[in-house]
Amino acid sequence: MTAGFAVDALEPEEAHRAERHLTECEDCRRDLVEFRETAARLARAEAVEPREQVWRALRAEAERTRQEPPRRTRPARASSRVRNLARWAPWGLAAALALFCTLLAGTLVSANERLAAQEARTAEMEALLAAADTNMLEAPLGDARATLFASYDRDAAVLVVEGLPQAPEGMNYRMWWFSGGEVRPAGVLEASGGGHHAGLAGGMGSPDQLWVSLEPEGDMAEPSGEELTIDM
Amino acid sequence: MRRGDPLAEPLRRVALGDLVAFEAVYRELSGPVFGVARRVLVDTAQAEEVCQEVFLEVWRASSRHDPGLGSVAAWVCTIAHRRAVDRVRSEQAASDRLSAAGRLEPESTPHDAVPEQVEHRLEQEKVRRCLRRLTEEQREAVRLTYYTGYTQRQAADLLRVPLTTVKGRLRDGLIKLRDCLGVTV
Repeated sequence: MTAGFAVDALEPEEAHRAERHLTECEDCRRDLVEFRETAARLARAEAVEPREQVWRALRAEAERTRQEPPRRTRPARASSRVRNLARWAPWGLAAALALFCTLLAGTLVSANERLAAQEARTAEMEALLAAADTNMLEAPLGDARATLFASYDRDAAVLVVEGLPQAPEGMNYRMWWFSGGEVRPAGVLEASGGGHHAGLAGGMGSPDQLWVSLEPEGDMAEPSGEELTIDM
Repeated sequence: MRRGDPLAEPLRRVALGDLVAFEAVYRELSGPVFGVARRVLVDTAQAEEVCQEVFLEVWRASSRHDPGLGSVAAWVCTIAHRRAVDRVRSEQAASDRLSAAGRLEPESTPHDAVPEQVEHRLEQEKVRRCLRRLTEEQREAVRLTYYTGYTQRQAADLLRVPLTTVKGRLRDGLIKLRDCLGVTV
């Protein structure tokens, strides 16, 4: 089906099926990329320059045509990570909310004066989990296991980590967004119930990676400790 | 993901509204786009329209090209082929074109319209040589689908063979071409 799809030789309903299948089949996606590169070579062998009028008309048309903004939700990439990127499913929502109740139960007792901030953050986390475009990514984080819920619409992600060692006194875990060679602070990862760490990372943008590092308490512009990374 | 795609940077600038970069992309790919559209449509005026449509789509959607899904050239050629094929199918004048599209060899280019002569001749020669390595059946499957714009089912009906046979021939043909042309991703 991939070969037929690559040269536009499928009937419409077959093409729809192929498109769906391609989102799940990594090998097929690789085949598709190769077949399309092959077809492009066939096209190059056919190369004939069109008349110059075509360019002039096109240029005029382009000048009055609005360009589309980049997609906020990134399309599936031909990468092994795509397999881990499970589309958010309704059954997961209840489970995740239950998980957060446990997590928050652990943090709420820590400091009364932070209660209001904590509640605001809980609301933000719940909104993020309910967002239509939220994706879940599971990945190792050093020796620990991380689950990341990310929403491009809400421009934020919730990171839950299981198995991260307790931060020493006076230190905490911080999250960082890494994209295009730049690092931006993304918030604090706090210890919570059941040996988990959790945090809300805002200002996501379109990051390449999320980093976690152990830092002295207080604001930092960039990580000083060794960072653990999750590829987005 | 893809390294060394010479059109990746120009396309990035196209997404920022850069008309100079847009012209650079156009100059590089207008030949293949127009050529493949003309080959499928067998009509110069329609091929020009398709060419314009294709590059306007490139202009509009340049920010959405995903390098993980192939080179800029492959992306643009894919759009071109699909648009040409869509026209052919909406026309449903396929039988008229069958004889005109009967040749498989890349068309000998008219002398007034040859881009980068030597390079182009070499590429043509390579593709021609690789096509010759396919079996007659595989070549037929590639010709009827890619060059003529039939679906695999239409090709199967024409050839009076089962659909799965055509699918297999097309797949094997593309794999052979891929290997012969040294396509790597």
